[in-house]
Amino acid sequence: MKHIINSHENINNTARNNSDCPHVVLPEEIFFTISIVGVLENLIVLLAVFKNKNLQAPMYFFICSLAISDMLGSLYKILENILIILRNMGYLKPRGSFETTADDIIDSLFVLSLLGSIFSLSVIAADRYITIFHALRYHSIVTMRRTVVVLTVIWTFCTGTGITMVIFSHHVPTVITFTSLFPLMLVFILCLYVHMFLLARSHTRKISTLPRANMKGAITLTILLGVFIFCWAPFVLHVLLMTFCPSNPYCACYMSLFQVNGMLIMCNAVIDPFIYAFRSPELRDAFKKMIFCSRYW
Amino acid sequence: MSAQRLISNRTSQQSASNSDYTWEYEYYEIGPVSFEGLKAHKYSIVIGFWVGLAVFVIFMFFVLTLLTKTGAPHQEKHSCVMEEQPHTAGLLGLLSHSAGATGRHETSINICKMNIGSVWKGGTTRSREGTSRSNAESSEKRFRMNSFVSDFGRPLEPDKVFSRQGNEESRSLFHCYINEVERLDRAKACHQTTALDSDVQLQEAIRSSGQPEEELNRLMKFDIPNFVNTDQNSFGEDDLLISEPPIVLETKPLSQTSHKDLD
Repeated sequence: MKHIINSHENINNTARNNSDCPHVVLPEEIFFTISIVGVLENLIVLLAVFKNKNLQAPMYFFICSLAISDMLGSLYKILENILIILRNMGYLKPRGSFETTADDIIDSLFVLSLLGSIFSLSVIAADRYITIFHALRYHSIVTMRRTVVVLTVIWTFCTGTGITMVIFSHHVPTVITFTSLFPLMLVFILCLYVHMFLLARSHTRKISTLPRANMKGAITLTILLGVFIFCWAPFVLHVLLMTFCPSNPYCACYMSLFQVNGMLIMCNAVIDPFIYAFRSPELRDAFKKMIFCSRYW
Repeated sequence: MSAQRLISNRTSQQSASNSDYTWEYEYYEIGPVSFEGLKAHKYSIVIGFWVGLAVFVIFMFFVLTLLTKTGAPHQEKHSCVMEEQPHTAGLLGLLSHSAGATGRHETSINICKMNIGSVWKGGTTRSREGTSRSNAESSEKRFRMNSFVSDFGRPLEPDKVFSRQGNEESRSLFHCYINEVERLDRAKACHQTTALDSDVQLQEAIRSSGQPEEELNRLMKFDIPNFVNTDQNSFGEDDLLISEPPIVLETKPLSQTSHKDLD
């Protein structure tokens, strides 16, 4: 994946004038701003959960896991931008061993953040599913110990997979594994949420025949899934095209939008707290308490 | 120059350590792509991809909204329960207005909510076959019964809610649970619940009324996750009686002592 991630750095040095699809270059300030906003938001979510004892429940731990993976993704972008700036200013050698090692590390951070995001979203959907369909056995199914175990397993697996993928990034099976994770998780999450939606819909149908209520449920679900799809699918397609048709002009034109696709992933890190963490009233209250308490310092 | 660079760099293609920089040059070798003889627009993949994504998301949205308008698989399973819809609404209204404003009431409301949720599912949490119950189910029942037993002792004036049962148990909201259970049975098997089962439950409730407080505390900590909460709160607070009770009752003072008579 290094070639994908580092390819956009030396655009100025290449003879791209004979390509009809110039790379879309976004200014670094946009990346910096979005990344810093993402880091701050997810840091606030983490602080709110760790400071409040009543928020230390499995559901919030899964949301924390999502916040950590979003934060890692934003951190990756910030580090990469810093490295690029240092390289452009000449402080770093273009082919030094330190630079390649640093590139490896931040690339594995990126893959770790991607995988962590995907798995956290799946685990959140599974947790909500158990809450609704096994409501009275929820506390015996989802205990704190099991939550910690599941999160540890997920993050260990993501770290190992991230390091492996970065080492073998130019092999086709790696790319296929990576890109197949996305549709698998999407189908999994889609099934869970649609089933939950059907139950909620039939539930409210019994209580109230107001169609507006069901419309809101449909909108919520569409937003959850739509944001996931819109932010991840472009990058996944980029990886696929880079592996399988790099010299095709159509594919090259799609890959010229690499920075836009990367920015969408940063935007996902910014949007996720709003559609997962801050939808919870308890977390909003904890957040407000934190803000008001900090005014007295 | 570029050809020589290519040849020298292609040999190092498989090396992992320097692959980023050599790969960059290879990327640039791929870079000058010939754009002659294109049949379609050069950004066709981009346009097609984004249009496809948008169509997929919009299609998903319309499928979801269509599901809200037409029937759904759950509805057929609970056709036996459909007839009790007005009673359920009345039940929830009772829960919100008649019970005292204790902190545990919210828990009981949640439990009744959860009960209803599980009822629509088809009773994943209960099974009434014979007298053999799993430990989990009996402990669940104990939770429910404890919360109902300890919280609701005030007699209910609207006997009409339970009048279709035609029994004299309408003195406490504990029977809300009984009715839910009976409704569930009706939904599952579409036959009348025997009075024996109600008596068994009653006795179990009386026996287990000395349950330690920790289970109630655990139930107090339980919260329907924000997906359901938020959606229900956004489902139109005026219409859904479910979403009202926790908000209403938290503002009332803790005046009711829960002293129960089950006689």
